[in-house]
Amino acid sequence: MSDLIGIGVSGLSAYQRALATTSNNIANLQTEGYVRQRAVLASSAQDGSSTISIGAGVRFAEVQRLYDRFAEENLQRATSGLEAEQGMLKELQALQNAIGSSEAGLHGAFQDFFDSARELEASPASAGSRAGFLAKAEGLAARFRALASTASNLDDGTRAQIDQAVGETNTLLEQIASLNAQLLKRTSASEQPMQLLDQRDISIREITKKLGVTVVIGQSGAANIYAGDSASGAALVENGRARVMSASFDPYDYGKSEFVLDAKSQPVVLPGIRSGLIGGLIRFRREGLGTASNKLDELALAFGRAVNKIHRQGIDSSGRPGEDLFYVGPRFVVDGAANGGSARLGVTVLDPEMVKSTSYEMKFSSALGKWEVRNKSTGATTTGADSIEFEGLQFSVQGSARDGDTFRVTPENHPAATLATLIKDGSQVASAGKLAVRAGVSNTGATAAEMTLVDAREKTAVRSLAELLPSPKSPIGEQSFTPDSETGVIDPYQDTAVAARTGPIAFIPAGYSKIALATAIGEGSELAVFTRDGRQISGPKMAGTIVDEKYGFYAGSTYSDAYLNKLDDPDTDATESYLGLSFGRGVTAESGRQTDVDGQVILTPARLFGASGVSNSASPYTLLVNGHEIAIGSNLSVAQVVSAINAQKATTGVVARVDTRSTTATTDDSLILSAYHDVQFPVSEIDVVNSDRASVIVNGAEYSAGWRVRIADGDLATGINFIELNGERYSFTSLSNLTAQLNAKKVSNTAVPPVEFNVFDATYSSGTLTVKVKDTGLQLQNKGFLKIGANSVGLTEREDFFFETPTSGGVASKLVSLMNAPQSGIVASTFGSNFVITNTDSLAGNPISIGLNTVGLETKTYFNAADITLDTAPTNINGDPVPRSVLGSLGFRSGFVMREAAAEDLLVFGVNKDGNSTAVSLSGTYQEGEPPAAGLPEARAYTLRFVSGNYSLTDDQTGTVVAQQAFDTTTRTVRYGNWAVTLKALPGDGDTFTVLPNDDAKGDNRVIALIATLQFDRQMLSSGQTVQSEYEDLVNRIGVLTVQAEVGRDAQKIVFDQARESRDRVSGVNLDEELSDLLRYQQAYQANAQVIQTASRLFDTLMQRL
Amino acid sequence: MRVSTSMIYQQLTDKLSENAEGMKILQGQLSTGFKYSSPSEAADLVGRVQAIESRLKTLDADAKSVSRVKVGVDTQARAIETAAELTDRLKELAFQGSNSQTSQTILNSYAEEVASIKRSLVDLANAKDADDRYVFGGVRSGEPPYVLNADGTVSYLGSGTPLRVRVNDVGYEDVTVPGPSVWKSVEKDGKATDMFAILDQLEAAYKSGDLAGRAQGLADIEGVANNIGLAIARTGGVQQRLEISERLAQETSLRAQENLASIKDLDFAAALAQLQKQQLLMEATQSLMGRLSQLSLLEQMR
Repeated sequence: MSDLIGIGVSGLSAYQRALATTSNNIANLQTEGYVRQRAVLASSAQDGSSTISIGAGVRFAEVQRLYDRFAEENLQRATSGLEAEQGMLKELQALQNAIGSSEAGLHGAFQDFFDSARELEASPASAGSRAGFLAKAEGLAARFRALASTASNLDDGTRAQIDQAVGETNTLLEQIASLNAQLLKRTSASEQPMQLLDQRDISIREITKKLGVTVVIGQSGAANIYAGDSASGAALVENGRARVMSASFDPYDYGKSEFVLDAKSQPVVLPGIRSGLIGGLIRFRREGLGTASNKLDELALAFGRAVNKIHRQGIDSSGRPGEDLFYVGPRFVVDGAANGGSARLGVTVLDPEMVKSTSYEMKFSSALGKWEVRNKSTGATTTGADSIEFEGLQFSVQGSARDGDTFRVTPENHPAATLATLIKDGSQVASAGKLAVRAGVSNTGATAAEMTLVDAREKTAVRSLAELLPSPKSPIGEQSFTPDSETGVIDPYQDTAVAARTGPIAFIPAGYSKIALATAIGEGSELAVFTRDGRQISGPKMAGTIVDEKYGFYAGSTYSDAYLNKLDDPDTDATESYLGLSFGRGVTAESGRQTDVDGQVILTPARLFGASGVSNSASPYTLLVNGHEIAIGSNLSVAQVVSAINAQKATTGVVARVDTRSTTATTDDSLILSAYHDVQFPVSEIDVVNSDRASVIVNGAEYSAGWRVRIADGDLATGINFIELNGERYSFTSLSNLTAQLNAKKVSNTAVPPVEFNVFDATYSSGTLTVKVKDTGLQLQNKGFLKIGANSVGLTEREDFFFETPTSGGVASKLVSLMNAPQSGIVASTFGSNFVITNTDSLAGNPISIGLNTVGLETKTYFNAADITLDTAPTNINGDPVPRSVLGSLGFRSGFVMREAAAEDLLVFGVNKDGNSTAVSLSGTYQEGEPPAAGLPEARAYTLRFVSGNYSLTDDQTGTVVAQQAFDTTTRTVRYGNWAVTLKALPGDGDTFTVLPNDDAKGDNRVIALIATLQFDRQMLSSGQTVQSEYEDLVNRIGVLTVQAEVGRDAQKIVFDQARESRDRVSGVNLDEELSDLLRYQQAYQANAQVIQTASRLFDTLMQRL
Repeated sequence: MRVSTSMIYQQLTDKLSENAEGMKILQGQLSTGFKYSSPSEAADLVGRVQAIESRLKTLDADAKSVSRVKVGVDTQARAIETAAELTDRLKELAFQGSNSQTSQTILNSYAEEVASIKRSLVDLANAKDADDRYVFGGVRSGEPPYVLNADGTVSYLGSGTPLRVRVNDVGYEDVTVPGPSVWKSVEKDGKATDMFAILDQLEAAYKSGDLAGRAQGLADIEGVANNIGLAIARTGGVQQRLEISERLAQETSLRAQENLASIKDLDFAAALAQLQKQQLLMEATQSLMGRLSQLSLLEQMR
């Protein structure tokens, strides 16, 4: 009986718990992450002592958590995948809406720009068309900026989302680590509280929304989480420890980002995150935003530069040269704040056409002693010392660096974000060509031609002078005259000897000036200089066959010696030289310029190094000093050359002397040419009628002469006055009294030999005492000098020379004699009506300091204000070239010298005594620079003449035939400088064209027409596409990405739904099922109660029987 | 297969959302008349649409350019045709003047007429079009290209480069041309002599009565007339090309518009049918939601 009751009780107990389990399931029907539980019942153990087996009831074995790990992991993966696609799609749609819009995108803006250019092309004189073109240009720039702004906003937005997701992930990782700590207290998952396991799974699923992870569940149910698709990835949570994740983004390249674990302790870079919201956003930034932004920048740079390049080729409606139409950028910012050294980096743009919109990193290696510059986008590198040129930029470092010091060079802004029009007035649109071509009215053949600006003609590469002589230490006139602080020696002419090759030694780039090239003394070779069109302008005449394309001449060039060694005739103003260029064969020197402590530019003497020896020339030659010819006789020494120069100093304004350096070799001697400069004032300024004296302070010394000293009654102090004259003191109470004392000294006869005493002639009249030194008829050692000492009457203490009856000429003459005294360092003279003060020859070139004076001179230091030049005339007085041996024997290095800059390249050859090209040892100096604007072919007028199948090109201003060659009847094009003329038809014999600067720009459309054709230009971009096609490609690329993301999102949604369904199939709560269980367990419970009741009844029956 | 209760409701909710989204897109399409109301709705098409739209604008610009060029070319044609008429008269004069029997008085009157025709030709050579351009000055179209000097000679100050305007993707036409390419010189005595000098020489021959000069003048004028005839032919050719360009641009534009419409414009009938279908689906899903809630075991147990 008791068994029956026990069985019933066990059933009641078991089903009560089962009902509770079912109720719990129902209660958690909508609980996120809840895993369904099931009551597991088992029959109780039998009593083994009996031979008959009767059950012992039921027991509640366990509450089972209906969990399918595989389904859960599938759901986690599907969640990551879906979140990635959804996150990416949302941002891609925003990007596509911006770039794909007809209103906001670039395609239409480009079209409007080109259409407005065509409108202007058709009506170049229309102010409305010009304004319309500018408006569309600004519209296009504004569209670029708007898209760049959209990209920037998307960058900000996605960055914020990622930062937020990373923050939430870190919180979740912490939660899991904390849960793990709880779970690890038990060894088996089955022993764990089910809520803990549910919470663990919820947190993991939340993490998978942020990024894809791999979860490894341990025996205890603790979850280790690894980034990526396998457990070999970086651990995010291991047991009870979570790592902190952080994200960093490239400030410039939207496509670049980095995720780091434990950035502040032991940083580990996470490999690419591909799934979850973060993965989707990263992919969007890399494939969508980064691509679009880079493409916008590339388009802005390429298009802006292409338009600017063409626009600069034109002139505006007022004839002014075209300027940049667009601001293109980029500017760069440098960050090296963390560096340990003191090095500072400056970045300047050398070639705007080459500069890329990309970031650079510059790192110093102390082992190599060099910096390495790396393009962070392409990985391209270069190394160098403190000045590195790379990709159109110059990186200049100042200061000392430590090993590993790194500078980050980043564009300040995206080019697309800063594109803007620089021109605001339609009249400044350079729609016209710079040059015009005009057919001769009598032409029988060609009557029309196209005039275009082109790149320089192709030519065989020849090394430049800068490559041959890389260190032009002392350009002419720029030598240092400061002695070396250690040696005390002035640095002499330091040039570089280079063994040059046969053929052209080098070319002198257009714009180089102050050129002095020489072959070694005694080498017996000379230099010949040509234009690239075959005009030989200097040196011994060479054979015409030297003009060959392989030597750097332009194709088809012919030889001409029409301008060989010719200079202009200064008397007739006729241009006989090549384009009026002034050059020489021999020596050259000119004044240098230095700055004094006050910042004032001082001209230093011209110096010619190596002055020694005697000329071995039997024939005379000519030097040009400041352009004046000085004939030099035959076989003269350097000293005689100096004398010859100095003999002409009044004409040339130049004084020569030899600076002999006894401690060094004679080649360090130098011929110094200084300014024969002066300070002048009119002799009439010496006013002997109204002034008592004339005085000038020169270089601190006072020179004066006069005829009287006056003291008035009003000058006297009360009481006893005094005055010292010629060292003797006179005390007096009135001027009458002093007059008497002075006249007492008067001597009326001649004293011979000179007597040292005072001689006065004093008169007192109308309240004024006049004291004169009486020198007439006296022979005194202190003749005529009056020394005024201390006095009480207000006279300045001084010593003057006095005349009794002075005249201007007499005073001037006296001043001259005073100034010309030995050791004065100055020389005075009267020249015509002027009084002239100069330095002595040995001090020539030094400044002259003028102090207080009575002759009207400004009190200041007078510097030499005139440049000095010295050249060898190319020919002697007989018209023969000066043999360089003449100058060589004097110790001078000589060769080709040219002070001014040519507007075109010049080819330099070494020539032997037979007139053939030869290798030489070259030394020389030069100064780099830009070609003179007035000399550029685009600034000059030329006449193009066709005769017998050839053409000649003559510079109209000088009459110089600059080129002459056969006419190419196939291309019908003549090229020169940076222009090309293409004839519409073959020319007739004698046909002419004039090429000249355009003087009527208003109706000219040639440049704007070129800008309009940029619509079809396929050279502008490296892809070989037009700008519109390239943009269309971008729109399509983003479109394809968007569509792919849509498809991916839909596919991932299906996968997600299936995974969720699979998981719910096992772990989800079905209300019907639970209600059914509820009924089932309730009935079982009632039945067991009935068992107990039955047992009770049986017991009662038994009891009644008993 | 076991299905959880929340899954049933989740799926229904998802379907309702999808239907609502579909309705929204259809409403957008019907209200704009386009297949898409924002680029992201037709991400793979917008690139092509933009290209066609730009193409249409280019064709429109082509048409405008052609009309601007026509202004210049028509002026050239009219000037040259007038010059041809004057040349015809010159030929008559030259023919009559070459007759040795013509009296000096008549020759003098011929000389006057030749001088007058020369001035007219200079005026024609300085013709301006409706856009205020000297059509025979090349790109130097803002100033008179031909100048009558004090000594009676004529100088050309215009440009040797024509003012060209693009009329289609690859083709250019000259709005203004260099004068010497129309008012050409004539080969005479082995050297080139400009057209106006020919007339000067003819005038001088008439004034002096020089018979040989008058005979030479007849040949020279023939040369002038031939050159002007060539210019008429050239100008006519240009006018013809412009007509063709204009027609081609119109046809291409029409095709591009059709192409654009096929991509972008909405098929209203199909869209309305789709809208109806979407509404039905919406209603069905909502109805299903109601019915499912009634099928609960809980309801049965009550």
